[in-house]
This record gives sequence, structure tokens and C-alpha cells, in this order.
Amino acid sequence: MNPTIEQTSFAIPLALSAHNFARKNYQGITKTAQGKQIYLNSLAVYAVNRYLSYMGFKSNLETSDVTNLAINNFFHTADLEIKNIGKLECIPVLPGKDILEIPEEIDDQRLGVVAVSLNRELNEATILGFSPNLSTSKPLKQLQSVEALLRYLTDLEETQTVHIDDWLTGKIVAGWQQLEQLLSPQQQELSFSFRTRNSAFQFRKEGVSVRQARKVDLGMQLSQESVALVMEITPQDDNNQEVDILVRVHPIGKDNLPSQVELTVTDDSGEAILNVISRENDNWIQLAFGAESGESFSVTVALGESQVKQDFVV
Amino acid sequence: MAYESTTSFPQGKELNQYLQSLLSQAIAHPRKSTKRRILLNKFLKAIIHSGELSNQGRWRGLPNFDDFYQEALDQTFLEICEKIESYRPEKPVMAWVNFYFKNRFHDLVKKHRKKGITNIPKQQQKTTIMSLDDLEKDVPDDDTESDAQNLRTFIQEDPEGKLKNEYIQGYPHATLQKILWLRFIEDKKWKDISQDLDTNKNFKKIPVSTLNSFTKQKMRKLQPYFQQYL
Repeated sequence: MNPTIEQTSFAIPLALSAHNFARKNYQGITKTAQGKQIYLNSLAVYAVNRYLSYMGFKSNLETSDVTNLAINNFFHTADLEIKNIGKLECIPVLPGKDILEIPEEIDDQRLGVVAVSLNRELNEATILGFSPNLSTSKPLKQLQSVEALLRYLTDLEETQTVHIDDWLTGKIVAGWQQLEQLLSPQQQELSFSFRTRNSAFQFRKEGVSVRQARKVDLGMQLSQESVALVMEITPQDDNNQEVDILVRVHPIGKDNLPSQVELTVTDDSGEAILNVISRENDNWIQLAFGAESGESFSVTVALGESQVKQDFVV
Repeated sequence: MAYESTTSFPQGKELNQYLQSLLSQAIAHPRKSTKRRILLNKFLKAIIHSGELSNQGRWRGLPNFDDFYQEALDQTFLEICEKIESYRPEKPVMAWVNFYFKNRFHDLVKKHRKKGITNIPKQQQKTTIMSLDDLEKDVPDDDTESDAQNLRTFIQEDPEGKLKNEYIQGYPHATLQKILWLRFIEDKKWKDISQDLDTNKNFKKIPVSTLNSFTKQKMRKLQPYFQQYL
């Protein structure tokens, strides 16, 4: 038995734009079976992209490997990047099938697989369900519901945004640590000694800064460079209506940052407002700015092709 | 269109009440919250099964009516989800939905009229949507033997040496050329390739995920090279 209508999405319309996208991806594919698969994969990716837009997520069709001719000729790929969250694999399910077949070469970085049923006319797609487990093909009836998918992605989205108020009220934010857990005593001495010295544990005193740090991994798996992203927040008034923010990138386990590490602050429209790039032998790089309650911004740390982005709301 | 109403969804008078209640509940939850999203999913599902979506009969004579219908519906879904706060309960929900649907349909027709496409039905047919059956027919039954041969030659000869030059950092023998060969000519599984490349016991084995992401990353980079020769 297949998933019931309570568990699935509605029929997502697939029309001119969807098929133009699929046709563009499938042109130039040299292997017959592969061509058909790419067309169907493109429709599945397109449908999930539209569905997630209705639901208020931001996803990006253009970064999908399904748009890459070279990759399409070799891999069965159907990934969709959701802004700030990660990638989903969108697997088409044809009429009459009751198994979700997961290709062997799926990246283990995927957030999960989404089963997308296509009708014979290929003018409608329905999300049947999803699974965060990438390892094996599974019967459709074992999938989690589309509502579970919405919950899963929303939870991920929320943990991606740090609420600065949580820090100011002493809450622990997943993924973030005290400075001393990441930086050596010498580094802390060197970089913060010119400022009022206070323990990061002394939360919630007017004019007292809160410092939190997060390890950021840049580069490919085998040539990884880890740095510490440090946020120092100083409230300017009793109600935390206005805060001063100092963003820094420090090396971990050594004295100097690699050169060309780029730190960028963007506003909520995605426009870069501040930016700095490390030179040879920099001990750290930093940006300072002020923000008001309710404002959101993002911090991006980049090195070469890899980058890590963190969203904040004051 | 597969939008026949089904008994499991509210119809008629109940429908408007049901849709209004979904909307007012959704508005009460912040944008981007799980609860609002689940309610929006229910809302769109109920609309589709309401039987009260406009059939856009005015445009039925257009050559690509079905495609326009689906396209306009898609844009309508996006628009109403973004604008639920603007709904006023004096108006039936379906009238509110159909107002946007009509406008989006009208915009689409206007846009395509400008391009002159709606007047040339035969040509248009080619650029519209393909069914599963069309797709089976459309894909040329080309000579896969020669494709396989091309691929073999390309990977083996690597005319500009670009496949040889890319290797996984720290593993100079794990070149893109070698990996492509093992995967696509010898048709090996990734875990077996990881085993095959494990020649030096002093290094840790290359994880399958690294092989996979390395290969895709380099193929993205070398797309023009692949395109030129394949």
C-alpha cells in the first residue's frame, strides 16, 4: 500500500517552466537511459523547489547538479539546495512503483531523500514523503509524511539562526562554545586583553560583553582548515534594544590564520555591508558594527571554494 | 485535469468555513513556523480538491490551454501563500483564490501573445510539456555502443591531460582519471574503488563520500572539457 492522501502533499502543477528546465538539462545527454532519468529527476527537483517556495523556504534550482551536463552524463543526481539548511535528494517515483529507489552514489551529506510521484502526463507531482535515512531503498509506505518533512526542515532552519537574545539571557545555543574551549590562553590574552577583562560566564550585567565561539570547518574533507568564529556582544542599554557586535575569525591550534580567509557581514536582503580578507600572518580578522532589536544579519566565513554562513537575529 | 472533488474534503458551504479556519489559524502562527507551513499544506490541498477552482473557461480555446492552466495555478499557489494576511473574511476564500488565479492566467497569456507563440500552435507543441510516453519516444535510440567507446577513449587518452592533473589531496595516485575509469568503465561500486585505491597502508582509506564529492566537484569545474570531447 502506498502513502495515503493525509500523508502526502497536494498535486504540484508542472507546466512550461518545469519542462523547460527539464529539457535544458537533458539536452546533450549522450546515454539514452540517462537522458530519460535526467528529465524525470529535473521535474522532481523542480517540483520540490516550487513546493518549498509555497511553504516559505528558499531553495536554489541553479546550484543543483541536475543542471550540470558533465555530472548528468555520469551520475543519477537530483539534489536541491535549501538556503542555509543543506541539500535534499528529490527522487522521482513513476506510476505503479511502490519502492523508493535510492541511488548508490548519493552524497552522505544530504539532509534526506524526498519521494516525488509523477503522473503519466508529467504535469503534476506529489510529494509522497521523505526519509532522513539515505542508506537503502525502501517501500514508500515506510516514508515519513510530508508534514514531518516540513517539521524537519523548519527545525533545521531554526537552529541555523542564532537568537542573540538567547546569549544575553544566558541560554546555551547548540554548536556554540565558550572561547576557552576553542582558543589557547595565549590567543585569548593576545586578542582580548586590551578590552575590559571579564569572564564569559558573567552574563547579564549591563555593559558586560558576552563572547561565544563556534568551530568552522573550511576546505575539502582531506585538506581541512578549522577556524574559530567568535562573536562578542555588548548591550548598549538595559533592555538589549541596541547591541554592539564584534565578529572575529581566529585560527585554531596555531598562531596565524591562512591568508585569503574572507569574513563578510550581510544584511537581511543578502547585501554585503562589511568585509575583510586575511593577509599573510594575520593573528585574526574582525568586523565591528551595531544592531537593533529585531534586526537580522548573516556572517559568512569563506576560504577558496568553501564557505560557511551563519544567520543571526538580534 | 485531475481535480475532481473527493468526499474526504469539505465541499459547498462547509468548504468556506474550513478554508477560513485554516487561514486564520495559519495567520496566527509566524511565517516560517512549522505550524503555519503545515496549515498552508492543508489549505492548498483543500483548494485543489474543492472543485471550485476556476476552470478558466474563457481561455479554453488556446492551443496550450492545459499548460497555461498548470503554470498559472503554480504561480497562484505561491502568491496566495505569501499573501494570506491580506485575505478579508467578507469574501469567500475561493473567490479570493480565483481572483489571483485569473490574474496570473491573464498575465501568462499576455506574455506569450507578445512572443507570438499562442498563434503558432504546431511549433509551440514542441516546446511544451512531454508526457512519460512522449519521453520514451523522444529519447533517440542512439548507438550506446559508440557512446561507451567515446567515453572509454576520452578517459583513457585524456587529450589535454586535465583528468590526470586532478587528484585527491594527499593521495596523488587517486586521480580523477583513475576514479572515472574505475567507476564508469569498469563499473565498480564506490566502496570497491575506495578499496582499490587503498594502496598505501600508512594513509587512511579514502572515504566513499570524499570520492563522490571530489569527483562531482572536479566535474563541475571541468564541465567545458567534458562538453568539448563527449
